[in-house]
Amino acid sequence: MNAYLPGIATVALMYGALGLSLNLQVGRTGIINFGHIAFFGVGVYTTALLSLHGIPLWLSVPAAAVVGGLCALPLGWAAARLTSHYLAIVTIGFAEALRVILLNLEVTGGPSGLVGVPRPLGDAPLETYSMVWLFVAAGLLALTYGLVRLFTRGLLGLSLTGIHDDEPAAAMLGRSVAAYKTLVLAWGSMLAALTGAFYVHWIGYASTEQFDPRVTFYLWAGIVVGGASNAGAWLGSAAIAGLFEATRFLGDFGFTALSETQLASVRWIVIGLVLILTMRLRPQGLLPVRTRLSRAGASRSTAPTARERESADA
Amino acid sequence: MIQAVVNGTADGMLIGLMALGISLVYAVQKFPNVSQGALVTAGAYLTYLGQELTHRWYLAVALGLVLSVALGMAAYQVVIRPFVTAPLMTLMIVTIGLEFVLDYTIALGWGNSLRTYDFGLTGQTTVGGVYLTHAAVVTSAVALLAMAGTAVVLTRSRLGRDMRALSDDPALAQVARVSRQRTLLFTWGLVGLLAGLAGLFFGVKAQLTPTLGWHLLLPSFAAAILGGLGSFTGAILGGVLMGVGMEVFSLLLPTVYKPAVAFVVLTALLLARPRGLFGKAVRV
Repeated sequence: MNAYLPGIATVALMYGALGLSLNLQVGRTGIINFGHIAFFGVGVYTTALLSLHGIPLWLSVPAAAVVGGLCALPLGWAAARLTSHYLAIVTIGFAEALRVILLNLEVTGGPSGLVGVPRPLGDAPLETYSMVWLFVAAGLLALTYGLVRLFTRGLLGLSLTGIHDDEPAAAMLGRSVAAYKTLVLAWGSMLAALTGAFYVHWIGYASTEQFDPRVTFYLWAGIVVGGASNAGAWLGSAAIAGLFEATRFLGDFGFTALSETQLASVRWIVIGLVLILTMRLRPQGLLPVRTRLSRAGASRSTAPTARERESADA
Repeated sequence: MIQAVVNGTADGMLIGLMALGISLVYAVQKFPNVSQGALVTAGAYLTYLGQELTHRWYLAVALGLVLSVALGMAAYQVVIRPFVTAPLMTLMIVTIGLEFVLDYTIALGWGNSLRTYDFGLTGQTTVGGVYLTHAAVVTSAVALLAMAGTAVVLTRSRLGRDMRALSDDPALAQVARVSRQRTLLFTWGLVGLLAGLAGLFFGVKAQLTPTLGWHLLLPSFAAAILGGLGSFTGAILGGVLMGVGMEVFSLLLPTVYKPAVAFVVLTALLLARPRGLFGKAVRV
């Protein structure tokens, strides 16, 4: 088990970072993004391509983040013009289209992906390698947390909360909703691409299987269960990813009642049930956002629902 | 080129059937039903189950469709019903959950290997140099019939009247003693039937995989939006346009880019004409 644990934890922490950047859009601003994992994929392929062409790490990783942020601009443009569920469908379409293109282009290696991406410390013994990378992943999570906090502090953060709670009111108070949404999508996507860049240098190859559009729903399940606070988002995403990563090795420990493909199906059924049951039993998640209002004891749980119901009916 | 249009029309009819189901739920409940994909997959596999059990195509079709209707109603009764008054996003997340549960229960039960059933619709006819497979002809005919049938239900039956009332103004409908639960239950039965038909004919045309419905979701949403969400003639027409569009595009680009084409069309449409080609003006 000692050989597996650091690997599982590394993946979990990276998913935690992805959950944080998705939550910036979903939990803080109320942008329904079902295509977040695509930007992780942009990071994976950008840094893989760059480093395979001899670009050093210190340049390829930030470049991937920048490219990820830029790729989100068209979505931001769409986000400014579409209401939530239309945008949701566009984002999942974006993720699927990107996957299909990367899967079939010659530059990106087609279905076989890109192998031989440099792995820093790849020559070190496995124990050292996995322990160092565990700390790198923890650092990445901390960095993502810091960059999300940086973004949501002060007036900008208040404006985002305003857009989340009541978009017309925020617009009326002079907030350019379109600009803020674009900014949030670009920032969150940049962070997702950054995670992708780290991931590919850890695992050593790039393949479109790493970011099947459905993987975004791992993160959604994490945020839904964890709650829309930063802590809820990363803990939830990391817990789900860690749990699922761990079940991949059940076979190695003598659990053979289900084959690997059957286990994969069971994982997805669990994700589906988690989404449905959380919505039923605790729609705000385990660690919901604490606002000044909710801390003062005012009941927030009923008020927004009534308002959203109205807007849903309209 | 003409061949591509003909092939695309038949594919588009399937997409249109699926879009019709999406449009129905949207009309009555105002949310995009993601679980439509799984209902279609289930329709195909339930027909397959019928074929395995009875070895007669008509019994397989009957069993597949009856079970599809039951599944649609069960989906509503068990999963959707507690969320009827929930916000749109909640319903969307819940149906995504339902999509995964159904898809992967199918994957668990039947495995990922490809399955087929043969209803003897394998021949083809040549009309003026254009190949028409019999499967495509039957698919198109049934899709059109299904659309006509849905139209009759909507305009002539009590269920249809209640559905339109709920769609127009839920509060007023309830004042007029329209039972929301009952109407929604039967709406989901109808949606199950349409999904069952789409799944059935997908299975006639191609091999079954547990993700077949999931992969049809994007073009179907595009078709439903193209036709104007909530517009039923629009859904079928939107489906045909999507089918033909994707087929013609694949003359220019490799077939593998079909989903990308669907995405581009969808996005362009949403931005240019969010109410679809036939959509009615929306009350704000």
